[in-house]
Amino acid sequence: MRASLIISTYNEGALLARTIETCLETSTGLDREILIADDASTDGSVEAVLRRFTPVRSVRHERRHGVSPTKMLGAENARGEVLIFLDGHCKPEPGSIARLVERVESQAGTAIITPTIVALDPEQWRNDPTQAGHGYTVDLYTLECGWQALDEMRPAGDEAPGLYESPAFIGCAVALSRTLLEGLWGFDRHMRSWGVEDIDLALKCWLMGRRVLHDPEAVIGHRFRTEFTSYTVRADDVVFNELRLARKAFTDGVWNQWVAARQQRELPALSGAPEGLWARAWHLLEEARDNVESERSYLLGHRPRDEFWYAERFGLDWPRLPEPGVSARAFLLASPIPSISPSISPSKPPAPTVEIQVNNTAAANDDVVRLHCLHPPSRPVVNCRIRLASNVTSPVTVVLRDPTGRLLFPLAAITTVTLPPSKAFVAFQISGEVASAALGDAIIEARVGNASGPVAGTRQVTVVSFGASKINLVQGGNYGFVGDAYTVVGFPAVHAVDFSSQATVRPPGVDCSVPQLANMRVGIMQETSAETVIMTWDTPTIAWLPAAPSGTIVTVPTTFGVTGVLDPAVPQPVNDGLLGALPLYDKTPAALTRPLGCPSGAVAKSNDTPAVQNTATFSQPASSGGAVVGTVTWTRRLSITRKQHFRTFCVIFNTSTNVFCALRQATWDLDLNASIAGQHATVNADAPASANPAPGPPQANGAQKLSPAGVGAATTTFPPKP
Amino acid sequence: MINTPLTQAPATPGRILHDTRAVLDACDLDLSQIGANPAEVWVVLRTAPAEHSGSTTIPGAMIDGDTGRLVDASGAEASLERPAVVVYEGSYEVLTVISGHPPAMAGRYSWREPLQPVARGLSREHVYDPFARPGTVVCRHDQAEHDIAPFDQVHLLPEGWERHIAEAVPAPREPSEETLRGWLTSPNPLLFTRAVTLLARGKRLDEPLLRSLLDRTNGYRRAVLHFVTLRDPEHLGAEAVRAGLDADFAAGSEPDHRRAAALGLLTARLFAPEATADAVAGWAPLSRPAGLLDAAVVAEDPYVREAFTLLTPA
Repeated sequence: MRASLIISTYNEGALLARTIETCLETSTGLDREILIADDASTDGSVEAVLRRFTPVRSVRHERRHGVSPTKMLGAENARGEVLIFLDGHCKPEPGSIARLVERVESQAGTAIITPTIVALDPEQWRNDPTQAGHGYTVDLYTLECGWQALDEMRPAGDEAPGLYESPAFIGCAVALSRTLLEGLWGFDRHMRSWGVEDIDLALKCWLMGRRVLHDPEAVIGHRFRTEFTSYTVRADDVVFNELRLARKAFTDGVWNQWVAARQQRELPALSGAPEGLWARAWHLLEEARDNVESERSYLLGHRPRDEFWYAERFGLDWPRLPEPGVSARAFLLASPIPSISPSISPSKPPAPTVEIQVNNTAAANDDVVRLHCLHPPSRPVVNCRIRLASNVTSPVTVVLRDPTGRLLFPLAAITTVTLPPSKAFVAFQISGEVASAALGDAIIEARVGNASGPVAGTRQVTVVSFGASKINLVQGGNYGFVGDAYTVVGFPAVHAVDFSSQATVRPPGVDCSVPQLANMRVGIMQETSAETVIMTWDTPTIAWLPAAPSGTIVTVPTTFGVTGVLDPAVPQPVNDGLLGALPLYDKTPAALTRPLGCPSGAVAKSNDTPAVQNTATFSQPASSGGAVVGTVTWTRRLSITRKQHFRTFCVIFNTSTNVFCALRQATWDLDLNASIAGQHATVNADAPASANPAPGPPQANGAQKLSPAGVGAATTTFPPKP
Repeated sequence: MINTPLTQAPATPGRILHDTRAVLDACDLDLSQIGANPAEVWVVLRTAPAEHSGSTTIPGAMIDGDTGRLVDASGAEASLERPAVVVYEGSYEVLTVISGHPPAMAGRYSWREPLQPVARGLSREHVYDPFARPGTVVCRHDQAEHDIAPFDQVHLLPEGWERHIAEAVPAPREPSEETLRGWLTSPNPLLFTRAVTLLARGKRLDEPLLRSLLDRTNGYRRAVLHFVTLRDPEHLGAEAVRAGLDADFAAGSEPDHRRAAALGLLTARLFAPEATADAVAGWAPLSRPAGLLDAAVVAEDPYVREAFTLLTPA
């Protein structure tokens, strides 16, 4: 991918959506992604954007870390080669994004490109070109910043026509290559809440022999704050950030001068910190001493320029060598004794890198895993593998985790694997814990050593879910007799209940043809319980056997009945699928469809018409004195009742494994009495699945118990056999 | 062409159910199967079921005529959880031998089948069972073990069509277009039915052909026409299908045509409900109370009235 627009945000409210919308509109045709780096927003703005703009994805801190770590969170998860960092309240002018990308590429990734920043009226969402800032300066002594007019800036030279050197840049909008960002040790991951992360990176850029260049033709509007309304910034955090910048940028003598001066500067009291602001900030620095010294060692060990060069290049008063001809070493020796003794350690070796494959392929379209199922509980897993991509001489232990929390491995939040130097793959598995809102918003992150070690590699994954699911039941027609069946007759409804089941694959754009999804279908399952069928006949007649003695008398119940119930020995509810469809209700093509959102996705449809087979008559041999004397036939069908409860499910069904997952359920009932007209099923609205559908055996196998018996006390005595 | 008028059929209650199954079975009859294996016995036979054939009964139990209680053979009270069965008993007479050598030209039958009170939808046996009520069928006759039906591939035949089976059996399974068109004017109603069915399934039964056929058919053949056009209405279109029914139910239409339309429509509703519901959606005669059921044209004929009682239940 050519570019990533990384939008850092914290509780930006509606401005975030407008920023995203403008970015989408003004960067069409560019091979880019938009990635929100969310510093634990709580106002719902990110979720709203993800729902509205499906191409956008996000990464998120679970708690607030601050501006600089959030930019790095975005950078580490971006796919593009060119990274454009924007605040969540920016309005790029048309073409400006593409221009920044082209400028970064034209400089072969050796320069940070900063655009013209104009004031943005957030109410009107309109940029004011009369309030434009070009170059950005910084006073290294006070770290105060200011704008620089275009005519005060030095042209970048023939190798960068149309560009100007800028001492620094403002962090609300800036572009650089991934390679350059990594070479500069990135934005400072350990800076707190807000402040100077942009100055820090600009200084590192210049001192590491690269440049910050301004393109006046790229214009981006920015909402400038007069106060922090959506969050608070602690003063000790700002001073701590300044200390980090100074410690990394300045050689020891300059550092000592700067610390002495900074400590003397008037510092306000700090609420909740009786030791004072300076002491508090210094304490924070000491707590982070290891990581600041590591980065300082790297920078000082690699940079071809120093802060004196920078001051001279941009006309700063400080730091300056005392007089021409005095060497930096002499200056250092003349400087006050430092109050701290940082140890200069060797440059940190680069972290090993890894290759991660999901579904054991290098392809990206199959980097998906299905969301776990609640009813019944199941957790589809996807086989993955990882191997070292860089050359090392000994095994490397990496911790795999998903900082977004969407993935598990496959039951735990992290897993540890040891990678051999041979670069052989090592297997692991993932499962889906939280549904993806956008493609690739789950991340397999491999960190060296432990969960806070350097990132050795990442792989984006999509946790596929099935949303907008429904099981709709539509009441059908009325019951009546047709021959020996009590069933639905007439028009227009021809079934007792019509079913429609649907679900939409999420997030949009997922490839339904990958193995994890190719066999998934939307289907219907049904279970039943509390079934009772009662049939009765009356008006008995007798056909005497010729051999029966004359004068034989037979007395029988006037009404005879058969009661059928589900075998009480079979646990209810029982699966109620059609023959051959187990465990589904119906396996015909119309009843088992691809999910909506997939090619040829459709609503699954079926129906049910429970009927009662009821013969017109009931016959039984009759005996007298222990011998059969004839056959009694109750010749009139008196009544039929049928009571039964049904629960019908919308399920996602794997046609390969027969595994299902219930998404929605709806109940319906029969309470039929053939003696009363207008009998029909009653149906209820659907709801989220709350139970596991009975998988089997089907109702037909759940033996039905039939109990015959006389009904009532009335008897009929036939005339004696002639 | 032989057209047996439906008005010759007795309009006894339930007669139309016999006819719906006969129309369905005639349309589904695969003539090429009959007698394909000379060793198999294929016959046309007429059934005469016993009075209690088709009754529910509890095997192994009897009513104690002295006490009225259900007892077993030993006189002890019978279990209350006995499986109920449907008993089939009666006699039959072989009318035509199509292939093989039947053991006898007449005989008795007796078997039982489990009663399955909980069913789904509608089977053709639910509508009319020729071994529980009289009928003429073409079937394969098998020497069965005791208590198992000795007949399978049973197809109930419309009244009078049994005489044409033997002649129709040698007909080619995949007739040429010319042969097919010839069957439309054949005196053999089974070949006519075969032709109409193949044309409808092949989407070659168009509106002009339907009109010309309706101009010259009556009785069961006309019912077959209505049934197959309702069952496979896609090619013709619902309007053309309904136009044929409208004409037959119009005031002054022939009583035979009314019966044919009622029979074809009821057969389609019972055995092809989804397609039929689509074809007649919104059709006024099926809308109560202003529909045809209240019209004299329906009320005057018990055969047609029974059909509409089923088609437009309360």
